[in-house]
Amino acid sequence: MLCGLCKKRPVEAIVKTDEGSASLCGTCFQRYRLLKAAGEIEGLSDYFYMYDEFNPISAFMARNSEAVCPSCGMSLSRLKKDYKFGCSACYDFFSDKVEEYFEELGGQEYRGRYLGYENKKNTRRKLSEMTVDDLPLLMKKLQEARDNQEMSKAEAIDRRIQQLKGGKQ
Amino acid sequence: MNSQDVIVSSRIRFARNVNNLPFPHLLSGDEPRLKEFLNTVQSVCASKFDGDIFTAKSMNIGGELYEGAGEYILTMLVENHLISPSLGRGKFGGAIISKDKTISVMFNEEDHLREQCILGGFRLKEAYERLLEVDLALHDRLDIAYKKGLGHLTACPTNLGAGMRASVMMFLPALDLSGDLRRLIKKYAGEDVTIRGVYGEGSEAKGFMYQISNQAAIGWSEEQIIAKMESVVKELCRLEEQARRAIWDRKGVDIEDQIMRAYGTLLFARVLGSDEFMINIANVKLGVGYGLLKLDIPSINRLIPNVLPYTLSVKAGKKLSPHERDIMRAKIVREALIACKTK
Repeated sequence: MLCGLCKKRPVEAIVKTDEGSASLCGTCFQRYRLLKAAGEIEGLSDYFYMYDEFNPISAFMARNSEAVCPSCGMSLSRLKKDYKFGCSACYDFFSDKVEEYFEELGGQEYRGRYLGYENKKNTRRKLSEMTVDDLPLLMKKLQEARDNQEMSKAEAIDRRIQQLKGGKQ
Repeated sequence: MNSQDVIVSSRIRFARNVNNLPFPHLLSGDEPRLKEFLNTVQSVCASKFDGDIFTAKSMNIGGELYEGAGEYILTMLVENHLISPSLGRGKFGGAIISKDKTISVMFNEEDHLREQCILGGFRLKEAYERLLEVDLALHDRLDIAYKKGLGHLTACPTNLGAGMRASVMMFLPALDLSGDLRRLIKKYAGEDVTIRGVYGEGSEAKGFMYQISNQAAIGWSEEQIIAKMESVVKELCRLEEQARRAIWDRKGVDIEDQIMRAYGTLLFARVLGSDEFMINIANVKLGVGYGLLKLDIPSINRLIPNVLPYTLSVKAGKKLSPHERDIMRAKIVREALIACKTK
């Protein structure tokens, strides 16, 4: 079954509220949580109305000057206040802050016995295998490629980001 | 004196999180992956040990209902160090605890997973190896959050790295009474090792029971943490022995009198308060250390958590008044002391 909102991706979550329920894909569900947490919408009807307007979700993102992790909605100010990350993707999204904390905590790299897992997890994945969940990582890689003047690599990453944002998996 | 008189138990704890799921403090309960995560954790634990599941509050995750354990059970588990006091504050927290109470896997505490293994005596390496089996099985089935250089990704950055805490519970009456412990607490704090009271509020340590733990340090490997803790614990054992000898040399007969009075109280009391028990059992343990009493120390160590207030109520199967608890405690202690006599 396809997502009741974007009609592009398969359903991953069912949101139940007083005003009804909706079957959403992972991306639309994450956006719903984020907008609701930010107080931009009250419920499902607001969310569906907003989606039909001219790209209002992107407009909200642009309006919101504060950096917010796209995976969990954690903001930089809340991270500083609570001294807690919101999800593992925050470690990529707030990489500057991570570096700062790392130095505060001694700045010594971890070299424990789980190096085997690290090798497994860092196996290079093709861009086509990246999903919406990898968007924070892709954004970071795009910036790195641009900084290093690797334009063809940057173009390829940007293309994949646009595909994922457009709903193509 | 041998280390058995001083070291009560050893504990290893791992903090782990999974990718693509908000950390517990941001969970709403609607996340599609939450149910899958809980099911996987339960299935892995079931494959590794025979245990029971407890949830702090009643909850519905993806149509599956979990009934909250209730205040008495939860507090009893906290008293026995099987869960942390903060587990009950989250909305989706719980634990899977092995029947023999040596392994517990808390879910949705500060991190998605807090695995721990507690063993009696000085057995940090064994506790580590046992817990590693559960941890490896969880790594096989879950997408554990990990990053090169930072190690295991945790909600609070202070737990980055191995995400491991090694703790040893110690009985340090002589170092406490001599005042040397205050100096040692400061000294070890500079070496990323903390010493704090196990029972009691703040700096108070009822029954002279202390927990010695490594403070989190990103750069430390698991082996380094264990080696450091072993060296600190051995040094504390040596210093405690010296301090006991010094106290005995100064006021041997007074100490002996105090120990024998304590033993008498525990053997003959019919109503025994919690604080009174803690003071007297500490003196009895000291008596065993000095060779004045012939009692089995591991049995005494197991007795202590068994007579804590909430544990007694759970044992009785009903809410007990403080006076009823004191009567029940006196009976259990009396019987246990008679049973743990050695030749």
